This record gives sequence, C-alpha cells and structure tokens, in this order.
Amino acid sequence: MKTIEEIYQIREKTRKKLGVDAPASETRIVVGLATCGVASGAKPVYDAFKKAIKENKIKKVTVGQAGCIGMCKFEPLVQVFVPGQPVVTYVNIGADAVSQIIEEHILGGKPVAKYTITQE
Amino acid sequence: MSKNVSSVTSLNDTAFYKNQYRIALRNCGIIDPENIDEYIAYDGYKALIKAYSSMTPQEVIDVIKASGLRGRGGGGFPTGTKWQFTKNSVGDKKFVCCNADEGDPGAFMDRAVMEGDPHAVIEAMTIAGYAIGADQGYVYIRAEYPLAVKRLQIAINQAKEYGLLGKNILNTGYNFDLEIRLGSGAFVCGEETALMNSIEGKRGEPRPRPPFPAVKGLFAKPTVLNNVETYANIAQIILNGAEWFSSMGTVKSKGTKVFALGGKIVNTGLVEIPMGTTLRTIIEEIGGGIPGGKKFKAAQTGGPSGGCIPPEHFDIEIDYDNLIAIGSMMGSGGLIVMDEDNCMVDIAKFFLEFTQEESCGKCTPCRIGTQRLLEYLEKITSGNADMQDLEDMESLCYYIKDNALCGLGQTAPNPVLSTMRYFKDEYLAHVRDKKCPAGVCKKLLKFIITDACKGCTLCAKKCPVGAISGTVKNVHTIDQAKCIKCGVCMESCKFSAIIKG
Ligand SMILES: Cc1cc2nc3c(=O)[nH]c(=O)nc-3n(C[C@H](O)[C@H](O)[C@H](O)COP(=O)(O)O)c2cc1C
Ligand code: SF4
Ligand code: SF4
Repeated sequence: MKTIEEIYQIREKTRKKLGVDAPASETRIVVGLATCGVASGAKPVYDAFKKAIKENKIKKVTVGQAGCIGMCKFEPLVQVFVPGQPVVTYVNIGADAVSQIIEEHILGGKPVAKYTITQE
Repeated sequence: MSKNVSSVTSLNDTAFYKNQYRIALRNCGIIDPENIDEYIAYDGYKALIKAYSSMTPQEVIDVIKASGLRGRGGGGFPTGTKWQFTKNSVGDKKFVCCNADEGDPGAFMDRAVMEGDPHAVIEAMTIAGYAIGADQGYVYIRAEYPLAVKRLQIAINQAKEYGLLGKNILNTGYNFDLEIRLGSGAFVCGEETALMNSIEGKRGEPRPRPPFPAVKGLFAKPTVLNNVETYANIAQIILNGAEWFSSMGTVKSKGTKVFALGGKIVNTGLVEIPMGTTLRTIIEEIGGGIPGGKKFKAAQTGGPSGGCIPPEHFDIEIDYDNLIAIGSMMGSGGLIVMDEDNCMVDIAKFFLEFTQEESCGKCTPCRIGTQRLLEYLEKITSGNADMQDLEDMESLCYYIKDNALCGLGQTAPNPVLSTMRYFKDEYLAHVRDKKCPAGVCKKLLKFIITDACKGCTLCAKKCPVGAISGTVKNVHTIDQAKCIKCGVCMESCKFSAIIKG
C-alpha cells in the first residue's frame, strides 16, 4: 500500500520518464492497441517494433501501447516520441513499414514522410 | 482551412483534432492503459486525494452540481443532483454503479474510455463513493467487450495493489471496493432498473419507477448509477473547478460530449467537442464532409431512441435541449451521417427492427406495439400501404410512447416520428406513388434498360439470375419477374444505359 507522498513520487518519476515537462531520456514508440487498432492489424506492428529493437540491440528506445486516439481510418497508428522533438504520427502502417521507420527515423533521425499523415 | 496540400507529421495538427477539446478522452491514445503509473503521471488519482484531504462529501457534490455536468448515458440528468438525492437517502449500505453496457449500435466511446483510460472510471467511482457514503461499487459491462473487461480488471488490480481501492485507502480511513459484472448484451439491460436486476442475478427486466435508484436501487439500497463518459469527466472537474467546466458549452449543457461519427462521412471516428458546436462544424470541418460530392440529407443522433436531423437544422448548436426540441435526442452520442442515397423510411425500419428484437416483452405496448410498427413499415417499403396506414401508424407511435413501461419502449417510436416529421414526402412517395426516391427499398425498385443500350451483351452475361435477354447490337430487356434487384447490370454497363425506375 502506498501513501499519498509515494503517489506523488510516482507521478514525478513517471512524468520524467514520459517527458511530460522536460525532454525524456528515452525515445518512445507507442502503438494504438485498442479493439479498433487490433482489428486493423496493430498487434503485428507492435510485435515487429519489439523484435526490431531487440534484434538490433537498440538502446534507449521503448515500445509501448496506448488506447484509441479516435481516428478509425488511420489505424494501425503509431506515435513516435523522440526526446526534444515534436511527436510524429504514423498512419495505416503494417509490419512491413517497421524496418524503414527504425532505420531512418529511430536510428537516422529523419521521420519517414510517406507513412505520416498528410492533409488538405 | 487552407486548400494547399501540406504535409503534417502529427495528428494534433489536423482539422479533425483542432476543433476538439478532450476532457473525457484526455488520456485515450496518450497513456498506457495497463500501467497505473502513467495514469498517475497525468494527474491521475490527484482528484481523489484532493477530495479525501481537503473537501467534505457535500463539497464534492456541490462542485459537481455547480459544474452543470449532466449524464452522458442518454437521459442528461444532472449528475450532482443525482448524487445529492442518493447521499440524502437513508440506508445502512449504499452503492455506486457504472453503466458500461453501451447498447446503442454504432456507439463505442465508452469502450474507448475503458480500453484507453480505465483508471479514470475507477477514480471517479471512488470519489462518488466518498460523496454519497458508499464503500462498494460495480461496473456493469457487456461481455462482448473482452479487451475493455481485461484492462479494467488489470486497472482494478493495480489500484488495489497501490492501496487506491480497498480498505483504508492511502491511509485515509476510507474504504471503497470495486467489482466487475458482465452483461450478456441485451439492449434493455442498459436501462437502469434492468441493469440492477441483472447485477442482482435476476432477469434483466425493468422495474417500475418510482422508487428511483437513489432511494431504492441495487439490492434495494440507495444507488448512484452513471455512465462511463459521465465518470470520465469527474476527476477533471474536481481538479479544475466547476467554473472551468461550466465555461464550456451552452446555457443548460456544460462541458463536452463525445460523438461516434459514422455513416457517409470522410473522417469516421470518435470526436469530443464542446457542447453547442454546430452540426455543420462537426460534419464539414471535423468530419471532412460527405464523400463523393454527395448531398447531405440527415444526421441521426440518439440511436434507436433518437431521430433524424434534416438539412434545415444544419446550424443547430448541439446540446441536450436543442436536440429534443427538434425531435431527436443526444442519446449516448452516436452520430450517423446520411446522404441522398439513404432512404429515410428504410432507416426508420432499421431502428425498429432493432428495438422490436430487443424489447424484453414485459409490457404489451412495447412488445406488441413495436411488432405492429415494424409491420406498417414493411407494408410501406413494399408498396402495400395506403394513407390510412400512415395515419394509424402515427397514432400507434404516440400510444407506445405514452404507455410503455421503460425508456426502450417509450423512445422506440422516435425514429419513425422524426422521419415522418421531416421527410413526409418520402413516406408519401412510397405510399402513393409506390416509389422509393433513394432507390433503396428493393420491392419498389425496378431496373430498366434504356435506348442508350448498344447491345454489347455484357449485362446479360453478368446477371446472376439470367434475367436479361437480347441479341448482339439490339436493345436488351430485363424480365422483372426474374430480377432480384442486385444492381450488378447497372454497375457493369459501360454506356450508362441501365437506370433505376
Ligand atoms: C433501453 C435503454 C438502454 C440504455 N442503455 C444505456 C447504456 O447502454 N449505457 C448507458 O450509460 N445508459 C443507458 N441507458 C440510460 C440509463 O438508464 C441511465 O439513465 C444512465 O446509465 C444513467 O447515467 P448518466 O446519468 O450518467 O447518463 C439506457 C436507457 C434505456 C431506457
Ligand atoms: S417498454 Fe419494452 S423493454 Fe421496456 S419493459 Fe416494456 S417490453 Fe420491456
Ligand atoms: S438487377 Fe441484378 S438481377 Fe436484375 S437484371 Fe440487373 S443484374 Fe439481373
């Protein structure tokens, strides 16, 4: 059981990890894994990111999950939080897009334009 | 909106998001729903700590009352008032329940909250428990939502581990425990008294009200029941204050509402917008308009209990009272857009098929009445109705509304009444001219080959039932007795020679 003080400590610690107030120390790849995301094939995307990070022994990058962001037609949807940079949203991606995103964005620092959202 | 095509790298920059304001969905898609620490990072459980340490139960209720929050499950009853009634009721035991039945076809906002931010519901229910003096809660959730059930259970377990649920929460001396109860997905089990019967292990049938749940609810004890989305607003109101919340919205509807946008619209999905946003903004800006350059015909809100909003009300500010004034209702937040290809009689029939199927059968006006209503609609859509039938159908609608026992029956005629009100000419076309203007009702539909036919024989080859005859280079004909109205011929003709008649 936690005390109120401990809850506040968890809050501070996790805010640092997620980079809420100041740049985080790690890059986060977040895959939308609600029912809608899973139905459109997000689970293999999640697994592919996990596998790629592990196999290439990439440090300081975590792969996580989130719920539904509300835009059905863009699922599977992946958000990439690189510390100190604006969030990049990849849409309608399949597991086959993962290696390119890892190579060019996560390792190379350049978002892969063709998988990001374009609007009129 | 700029017409230049520009590349954006984040969803937050799109028109879809810019017009939204997210309170209930604040954490959905942001945090890991299976990690309590991430919820805590975004001010999770801070409202509970605030309530426990610096507010009396009455002060909590006063803030919720002053915020103007109304129930998001359909009825729009003021949440603070409901909590006050339950607090004031005498009882040795009280309960806090959450309605996560989400029976409205097309709605999925409650699922999104439970899958994306389950702790928001847990925290709010615990706050409600403190406010009304309850130490036990139940979440009633449909078994068809396995992922939501799983994440909610994980969240409950984590909250217990941290001492945020259970006995002596955070060493404050307060207790609150939470359990999940699975529903089997009957629409009527979303009705509050049927829901309580179901949690008690009885048949999911409504019971007469009064007594209201605030007086005699679950296990005959005073009970607060709120919807998932209603709860998802609570912690933010406690943290940011009643004024912050009531600064958004219209005079009588405060805050935001989540809508499930669907139907003939470019951007389908979940949108959370301030109350009072116009239908035009929702459809044209957030929703990106209607695909294929088609014409807007109606927006359906309120699901099987609601109605259709015609183009003349395109600039209506969406809130509880405005929707009721034009014969629809907020309901849980389904918003289905229809274009010129939708037949409004067919839409009414679709919803009646649903309510007739879901009627629990306990009272006659609903059990028999919805059956009769559906028969009238079938008669109309097959071209066998006369003007007297239309009149009789309308009076039956009012009879059901006035005499059904619960909300399901009382609102079941709404889709019929609202389409009759705004699209009377379509009903008349079916009844008088035996025509379906949208070309949807198959029994009134006829495919005809015009003189534009070049005699290419393609349609005759494509027709699955061999209804088309004709020789090369001569105009073909359709045997109406054989035709099953599948439309394949019309789609396949390269000379647009086949039309709906
Ligand atoms: C037939 C019928 C079905 C209902 N289904 C739901 C439902 O699925 N979810 C819900 O929250 N409320 C539903 N309601 C409304 C509930 O009875 C109740 O008013 C609501 O849960 C109260 O919570 P609120 O004040 O927070 O909206 C339904 C009502 C009727 C008559
Ligand atoms: S109105 Fe319909 S659902 Fe409600 S009690 Fe009567 S039969 Fe059952
Ligand atoms: S509508 Fe279908 S069944 Fe009728 S003539 Fe055309 S292809 Fe044949």
